[in-house]
Formats: sequence, structure tokens, C-alpha cells
Amino acid sequence: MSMFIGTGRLFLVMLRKERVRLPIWAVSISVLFLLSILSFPETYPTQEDRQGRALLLESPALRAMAGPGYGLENYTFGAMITNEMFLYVAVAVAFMSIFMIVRNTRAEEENGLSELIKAGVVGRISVTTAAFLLMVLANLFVAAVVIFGMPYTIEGLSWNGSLAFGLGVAGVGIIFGAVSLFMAQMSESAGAATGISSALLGLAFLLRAIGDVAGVDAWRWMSPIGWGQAMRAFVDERWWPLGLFAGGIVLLAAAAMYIDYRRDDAAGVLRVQGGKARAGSGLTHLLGLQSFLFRWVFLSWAAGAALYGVAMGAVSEEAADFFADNPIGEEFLVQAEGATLAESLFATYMAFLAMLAAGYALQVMTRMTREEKSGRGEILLVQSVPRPRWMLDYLLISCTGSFMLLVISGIGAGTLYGYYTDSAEGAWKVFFAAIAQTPAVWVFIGLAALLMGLWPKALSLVWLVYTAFTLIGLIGPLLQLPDWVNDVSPYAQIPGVPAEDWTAWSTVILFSVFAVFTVVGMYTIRKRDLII
Amino acid sequence: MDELVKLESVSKYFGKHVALEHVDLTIRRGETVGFLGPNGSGKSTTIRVMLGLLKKSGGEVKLFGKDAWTEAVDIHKRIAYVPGDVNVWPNLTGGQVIDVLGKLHGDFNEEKRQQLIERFQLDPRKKSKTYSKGNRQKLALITAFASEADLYIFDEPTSGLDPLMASIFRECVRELQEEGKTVLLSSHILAEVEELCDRVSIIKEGKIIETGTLEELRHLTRISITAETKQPVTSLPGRSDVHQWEADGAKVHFYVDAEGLAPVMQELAGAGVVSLESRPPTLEEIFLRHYESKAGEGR
Repeated sequence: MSMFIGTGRLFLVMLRKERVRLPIWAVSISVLFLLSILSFPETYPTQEDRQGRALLLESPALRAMAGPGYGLENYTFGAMITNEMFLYVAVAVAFMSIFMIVRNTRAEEENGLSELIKAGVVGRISVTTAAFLLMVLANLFVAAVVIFGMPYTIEGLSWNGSLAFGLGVAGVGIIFGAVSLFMAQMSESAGAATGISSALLGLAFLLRAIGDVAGVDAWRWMSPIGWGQAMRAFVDERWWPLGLFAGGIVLLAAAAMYIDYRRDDAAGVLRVQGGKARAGSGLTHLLGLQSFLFRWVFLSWAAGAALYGVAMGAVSEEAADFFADNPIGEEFLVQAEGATLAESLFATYMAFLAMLAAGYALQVMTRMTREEKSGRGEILLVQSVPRPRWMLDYLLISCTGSFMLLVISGIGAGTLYGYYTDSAEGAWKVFFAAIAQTPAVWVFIGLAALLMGLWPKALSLVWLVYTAFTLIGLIGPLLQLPDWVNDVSPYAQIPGVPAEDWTAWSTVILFSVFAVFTVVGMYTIRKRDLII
Repeated sequence: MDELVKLESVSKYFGKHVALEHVDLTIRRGETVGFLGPNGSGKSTTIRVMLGLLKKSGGEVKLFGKDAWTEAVDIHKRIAYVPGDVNVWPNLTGGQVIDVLGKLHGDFNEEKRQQLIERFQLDPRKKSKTYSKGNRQKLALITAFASEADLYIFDEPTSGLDPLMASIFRECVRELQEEGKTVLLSSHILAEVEELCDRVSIIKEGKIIETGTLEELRHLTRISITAETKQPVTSLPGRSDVHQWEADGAKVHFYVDAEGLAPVMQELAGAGVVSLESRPPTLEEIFLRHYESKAGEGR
């Protein structure tokens, strides 16, 4: 059939283009999953421990963020994995599929690459078909690693259960790949195709969360993630939901190919509306422009921070109970005299929150070199914009933005905790603990500013520093590193509020470091060549 | 006359790589100066040193009598600049980019903006990421032409434009000239420079190798002669000021150095000249001669 000509060769070309990126996705998802279940037998050695864990799933907040709660009465490792891990592996493969499909189809059409390819001896729908096949292959790879890996990772996991789990994961991954294949045909822009597909994934997450919390099946069945969970891996395997996946995938892929066959190159079904012909007054000053450019970055981090805050507040009490029976967790917790376990827990959560906020801040700061290299910095700087002024905007956006993330998260956690414990004082303590992280986050911003002035080509080094300190913060206690390693970390300088008392001097020192770094950065950026 | 731009013996090193070596360049008020050279010869580097984006390694750079590095921001207020490779924010529409850049620059003429968008046939509602290279160049050109400035700097402005749009660009430059503005036009499209520029500087491997008005350059170089004579001219091919001799029966074609023109004419008259056509060299011939011969000498 002429419309498929060249599919095989295109598939090989795509495989080559994706030879680094796709394996990184597929291997990290499957291996990280296996690594994370590796510790289960050590953490929950007895059936009693596991049943204790099962009690956690009675809480609506955890139910929404985990699974439907199959097999709680006899909570085996398998049931635990299905209830608590399936969701996240499935969401990860779904993102892998969405990004891979869009960057190989609509994105290439948008930047004009596919025009060159489609002008060759290539069928009308060969690109779409090849991308679909590669996406399926990637998902089957993840499924295979998971299926064959699980019984070796935890003794006693059944092959049947592994198969149901792996196929369910692949089903969710492939069906969202098919969704994005369809959206890539519908929409004229790659951004919109990715955005709509991701929004649908979010909707699927939400629908099954409502179904799981309320215990209503109808909601679950509206979500492909729910279909995968309904396979009840390791509890009471059911295979017929695979039929739902197959039907949905065939339907979506066929619709995508039909549109691809009928439409013009570079056209879509959803019309892109003309944008604004004029820039409003909000855009035509420097800070306005940069804020506009970062609005989606900030909003997505803010959503994450809000979610994290609410989760922190929601699970604090139950988790404290859990840790009370579970000595392994204590390593992680801030230990302080006179503090309740919940407070210790919050102190630990807050350090993670600081890492999250620093991630946002650095994403903003490291954008500077990209702007400079691409020539967009040049075109701004020749419009009589002094260089320190240009840097100031990035500083403002990262500093206020990261502070806002802490505030958002703090409000979420504080309000819920205050509600549970019926204590306004508790709410305030938790909120204050969140914003007390600000100086640690800003030290990273200062470091980025310093590098931007002195050694801009090495700006991405801040990510290395960030990753190192974050890893030390996350797993340092387990590695039993010497104390000084942890002591140089900015995160560790913040007292473990609310468990410990807040002290002003560490905050003053961290702010001073930030200020010195920033001033040196802003001064030296005037002294160097632009990277062009 | 005012000297708006004065580069004296400017050098620029990137590590050990010498990008500019003792570059001299003067632009006077009201002039249009062409800046010629192939890719990688140092045109863009020179311009970026003038704009204070790169720091000179030696020499002196003054624009409007101010130091290009320390007083860059003041200088920028009086300059409109179109870079060779225009990159803008992919999520802004063309119209938004023009407004953002224009307003940041300061003096921005709304009326001209609308006219220019029509003249350059730009759809301002499209997102920048959907624009071709030529369309992105149009964004920077519209912004520059709609901005009030004393000095306009164009770095290969027409490399992505179609011939129709390139001619509109030339029209716009001529309008600037009528207003008495000063223009620096870096280009390797020689016809464009020949048509628009009062003076030309040719740069090669970071050194200025020729500078002057087109007439001066022509005087310094060879003249193309096509002639037909009754008797064959035997004495000419041996002369050191005669080049690329070609004879086709009674018809000959050759180039002669400007100072050798008079004696050569006498020889031709002596041989009984029947027809004679002489033509000054085109800029392209000047340019190619510099690049070919000097490259040969270097070896």
C-alpha cells in the first residue's frame, strides 16, 4: 500500500534519532521502579507491618494519590506495589509516550523538517505509523523489564501478577501515546498537542482518584489508568481490561492515521487562532516581558508546590503514627527534644520543599545563558538595557517565585494540619517552617548569579551542585556520610523548624552569602564578553 | 564633518585566535558605509565590539565620542541595530516582538510601524516560532526603521529576504539617507552595497584591506578593456600592467591597471583601433581580486 511506503526506513531513522533519549526514559522508569520496591521486604518485614501500611490507605488523601485499595485485608508485597506504585509507573510511561510521539510527528512538521522527508518516496501516513510503532516498542520494553524484573526483585512475587502489572503499565503508556498521536494530527502546534494530551492524562488521574476515594466504579472506568488498576495485579488478576486498551488504541491510532491521510502538510483540524497583533502595556517593559515568558514555568511549579503542601498536611498525622511503629524512618527525621513526631516529620518535609523551590529558581536562572547564546539576550541588550538590569529580572523572578512556592505550599500544609489538629498555632508553625526555607533556596540563586558574571559557560554547574546537595539531603542519612558533608549544604543550615527552634543567625548568614554572590555577579557581568 | 564612529587600531582576541587585527573604521554623519567581507572575516565581531557586546583587546572604539564599552547603554539609545541572525521569543507574536523591542529602545514611531508592517507584508498575528528566517529578519528591520536613531547598523540584513523584500529594504535605507541618517551596512551582497553606499571598507581575516569611496577603489584597480584593431597588438601581452589577456582574432579583451591606461591607449591607437569599450571594474571584480590575489600571496 503506497500510503505506508518507507515506514520501515523511517522507523530506523527515528530509532537512531531517539537512541539516547528514549532509552534514558525507558530504562530510568523501569529501573527506578524496581529499585524503589527493592527496599520493601526490609521496610515491612512482617505481615503486621504490612497491615499497618494498609491502614494508611484508608485515608482519602492517600487513596487519591495511590490506588483503589485492592487486597488490603491481606496486604502482600504484590498488593502493596499494585496499590501504591502502579499509578506512578503508568503516569511516567504515559509522559514518555506523549513526548516521544509529539517530538517525532507534529514538532518536526512545525519546524519544517517533515516537509523534506515527505517530499521523498514516503507514504502519506508513514511518519505517523513509524512513530506509533516506536512508541509501542518503547512501552513493551518497559513492560518487559518490569515483568521479568519484579519476581527477581522481591521473592515470592508471582509471574501472573507481574504480567498483569507490566501489561497494565504498557496499556496506559500506549493508549496515551495514541491519544497524543491523535492530538498531533488535530492541532497545528506541537505545544498544544503535548499540552492537551498531558491535560487528558491529568484528567484520567483525577477521574480515578474520585472513583477510588468515593469507591464508585463508574468514575474509575472513565480513566485508562483505572483500567490498568482494574487488572488487579497480584491480588486477583483480571485480563479483560486489556480488551479496553486494545479497542481504545486501535480506535485512536486509526483516527489519527485517517486524519493524517486526508489533511494538508503542516495543517491541523483545530484552527490556530491568530495571536495578538500588539503587545499590551504589561509586556513592553523588561520585567513584564520576562514574567510573561516564565508564566507557565512558574504555574506548573506552583501546582506541584500546592500538591506537595496539601499532601504534607493531609498525611502528617497518619504518617506520624506509621513512623512511630517503624524505626527505619527515624534516620530521615529531624530529631529534637520536645517535638511531636508530626513536627519532626514536617521539619523533614520542609527540607524537601526547599529542594523543590530551588529547582524552580535554578530553572529560571539557568535560562540566562540560553538567552545569551541564542542571540535573544543580544537583541535585548542593544535596546539600551544595562546588563545588570537584565540580570535583575531573572533574580526577581527566581527570588519572588521561589518564595511564593514556599508560601503556597506552606498555606496548603498549614491549613490542613491546623484543621486536623484544631490548632491555629500548629497551622502557623507549619506555615512559618515553609517560608523559613527561603534563605537556603536563595543561596542557590546567588551561586547562579555569581557564575553568570564570572564564568557563564559553566552556569550549568549549579545543577551539579544542586543535585549533589539534594541527593545528600535525600539519602545522606542512609549513606551515613561524615557530618561535615551535610554541614556544607545550604539546606542543612536552616534549623529543623517546626521541630527545632528557629534562629535568626543562620538566616542572616545565608542571606549575606546570597547578597554577596549576587552583587559580585551583577558587577562582573558588566566586565565580560557576551557569549555569542 | 562629525565622526559618529571611530575605530582606531582595534584588535580582538578570543583566547589565541585573532578575530580582529588593527581595524580602523570611521563613519561620518550622514554617510552610508558598506562593510564587505565573506563569512568569518570579522564583520559581525567588529559590529559587536562597536555595540559594547564584546570587549576590545586593544585600540580605541568611540561612538558619538563615547567609549563603546563603558558607555554602551547611552550609545544604544542612539542606535538601531539589526543582527545577522535574528532570534526572538518563540511564544510571542511578531507584532508583540516589534512592540517589545521598540518600546524598550525608547523612541518608537507608531505610524511608521504600521506602514512598515504593510510594506514588508508581515502577518503580525503569527507566533514567532512559525516565522521563517526572512520573516524574523523583517521583525528586526521593522523595529529598526520605526525607531528614531542617529546611526543604523545592519548586519547582513537581506540574507533571508526575497528580491522583492530586499528592494523594499533598499528603499527604506534611501529614505533614511534622505533624512540625513547615518548607516553602516555589512553585507556580502555587492550589488546592494554598490547601490547604497558612499564609502566601502573591505575586511579580510580580521584586517581592513581596502577602504574608500567606490571611485577611489576603482581608480586603484583595473579597468576592463575590449578592443578591435586593424593590426594585431603584440606589445601589450608582455606588459606588467596588463592582465588576463585574451585574444580572439582581431578582438582582444584584457584588464589594465589604472596608471597604465594612457600608454596602453597609445599602443592601441598605433595598431589602428576600430572599436573600443572600456568599463570600470564592478565592486564584485574589486572584491574578488582582493580575495583571490591576497589569498595567493599568503601562501
